[in-house]
Amino acid sequence: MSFVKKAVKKVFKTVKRHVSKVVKVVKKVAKSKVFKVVAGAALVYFGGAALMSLAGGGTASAGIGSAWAGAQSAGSAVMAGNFSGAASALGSGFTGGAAAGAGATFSTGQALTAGVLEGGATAATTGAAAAGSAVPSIATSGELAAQGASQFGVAASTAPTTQALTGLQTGINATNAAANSALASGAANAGTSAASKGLMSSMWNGLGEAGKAATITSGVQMAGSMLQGKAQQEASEEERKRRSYWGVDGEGNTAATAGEINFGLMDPVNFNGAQTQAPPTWQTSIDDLINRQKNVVWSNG
Amino acid sequence: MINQNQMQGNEQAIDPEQEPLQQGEELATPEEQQQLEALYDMGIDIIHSEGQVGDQIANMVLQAQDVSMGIGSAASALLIAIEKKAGMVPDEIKLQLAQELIAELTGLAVEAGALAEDEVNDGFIDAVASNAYSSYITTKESMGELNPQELEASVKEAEELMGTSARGGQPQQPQQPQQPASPASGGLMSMAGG
Repeated sequence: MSFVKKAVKKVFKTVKRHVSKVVKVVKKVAKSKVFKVVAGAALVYFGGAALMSLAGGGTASAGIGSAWAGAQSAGSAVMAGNFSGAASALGSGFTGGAAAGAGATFSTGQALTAGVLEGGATAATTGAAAAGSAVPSIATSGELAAQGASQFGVAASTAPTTQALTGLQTGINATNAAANSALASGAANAGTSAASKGLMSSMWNGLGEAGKAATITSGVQMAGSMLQGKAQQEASEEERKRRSYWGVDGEGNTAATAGEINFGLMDPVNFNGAQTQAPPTWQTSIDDLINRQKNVVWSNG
Repeated sequence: MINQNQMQGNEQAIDPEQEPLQQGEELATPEEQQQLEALYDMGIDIIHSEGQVGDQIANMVLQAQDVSMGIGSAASALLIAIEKKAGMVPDEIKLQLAQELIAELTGLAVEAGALAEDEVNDGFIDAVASNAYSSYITTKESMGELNPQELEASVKEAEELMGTSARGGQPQQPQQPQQPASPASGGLMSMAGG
């Protein structure tokens, strides 16, 4: 029996686990029959893409990147054994990974394949250039990690682990940065979206272009509404703080004249008698009117 | 008098949760089971270790834009780390080990609130496994440990097993005569002889 078949058909007992609060979830994954099927499909699909890219003079990494973009385009259901769409997309797009050469990376493959599939050759080239220039090799990162491990005095027994993990983390960070660069140019948008999904995740793929646009638009609108709501809330808070009721403002500060009624214009300190007019009566004479007018003119003058 | 270890051994031997074997499946030998548990414990030690390594694993999961990608990358990193510490891991054990590690990481992600319990479905498992395999191959190549010949043999075996191929778009003819692979040659999850 071959080793792949043996691996798929071998059945292990449940390992002794640490106490977990989410035993149900852990068991669900650990006992999933789907896992081995997907693992076999991933080997066929991504392994095949890697080999195709290698055969074309590219790297396995670029081929896998192309495969992600191809899977996104095809909306494939690999678990169900439906490779036709994905394989067709892969066949038309994988050459991007090979064409990018031996130095091509995961993101380069994605960008190029996305470009090929969407017909955006110029954008793809831009995306690939951005990705290629921004991604250092993980081997280099591993070397840096090894230096870091020695500088931090990591024990010899744990150094290989630390080196591998640090190198991988650095590489992943670099790949993410490169993917973001490619995203900015709009070339690797589809490929990167696909990379976050599984092969049989067809919800996004099934939306169609109009559905995707609507989803993105509604997302942007939702974010806009949230921002607008936040601004309104802040304005309301400021307004509340400015309010004053009976000498106590919105923040609970008590004024010096607390308890006294503030009559505004009738403030005796700023009282201006010149502006006070005598109540008109039927007894007012023409002289009274002249004198009143003079007072007003003088007070204003 | 029966001690605790014997009781655990009996419980494990009976294992009421063990599902009956399907046609074509075979139960792992006690040695293989023991090896799996030892490697799994090694992975658990890495995940839960205090300091840099444990933090890096947690960050991979919790700071990833997509949790399935984070768990896939973390599982790949753990697998490579275990290979570095333990030496060669047989392929049939490696696949089960990957599944157990992904289960553990998924549980931790749910506990940490990065993932809802009902989000863990077949689609999620598919996404994690695909990301883990992609990350594994990419990292192996970057480390200069990817062997194209072994990858070719493994893909060919998988194509026969699945009855289909992504390379030609047509199903492969099953059971073509081929050279028996050596234990050191690649398998499902290890194409680089790690």
